[in-house]
Amino acid sequence: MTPTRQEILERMADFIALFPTFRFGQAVSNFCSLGWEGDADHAIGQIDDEAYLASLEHLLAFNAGREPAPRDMSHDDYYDAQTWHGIFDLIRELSELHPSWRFGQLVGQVTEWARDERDWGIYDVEDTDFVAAARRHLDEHRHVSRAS
Amino acid sequence: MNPREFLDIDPRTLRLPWSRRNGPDPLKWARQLSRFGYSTQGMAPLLVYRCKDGELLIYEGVTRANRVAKLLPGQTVRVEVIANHLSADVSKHPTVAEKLP
Repeated sequence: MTPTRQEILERMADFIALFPTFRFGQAVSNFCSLGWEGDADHAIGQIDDEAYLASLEHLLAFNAGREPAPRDMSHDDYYDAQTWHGIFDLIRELSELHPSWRFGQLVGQVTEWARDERDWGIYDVEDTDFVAAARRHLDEHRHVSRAS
Repeated sequence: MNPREFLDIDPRTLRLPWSRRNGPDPLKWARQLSRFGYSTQGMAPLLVYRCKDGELLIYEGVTRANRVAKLLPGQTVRVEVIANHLSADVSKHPTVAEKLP
């Protein structure tokens, strides 16, 4: 995995500590969705890792020194850090498997696989569906590798 | 460190993120409506970007913005500006008012 990819995951860990109400895909989509008027998922897939990291760092710099938000019971969804770190581990594995894929491209591809479960885009994909799709792909790859 | 900036805004004027340009997810809309109805008690501030011409783009909280706009017209919501992207033109993003369920 490239140092830039590793840094993206580290900065995303910083992000979830500050903003614990995001789905992983929602966060990925929103980091770089400003001003889009077309297919957002396609645009995410085209952004290179350096530009993605810059967008994320801009957001974190603006919120430097911010305290993590207290839990708000009026919000009906919380996505714990453990789930996100599980996703990071899967992305590390997938990055080794598909080293030429950009970060956004990889997230978009896993979302495509997750569409077997629901017809959602990156913004909407639930973390559990994302994890299931990534694991399924990695398992299939291991199965094929063993067989050949 | 930037001081945190909170504003009280009519949710109908907020711009929707492109991925939510058609309004809230119907499933979440129905779920929030049944759980919270007209209540805004303890509701966390919506997270927004400040964009070109001062337009505020919802980063998180589309369903909550729609719920207040629809059920409590005229009531403001607390938003927090979490980044400035003053060159980003979001004028073509629909507003909450334009896509109320």
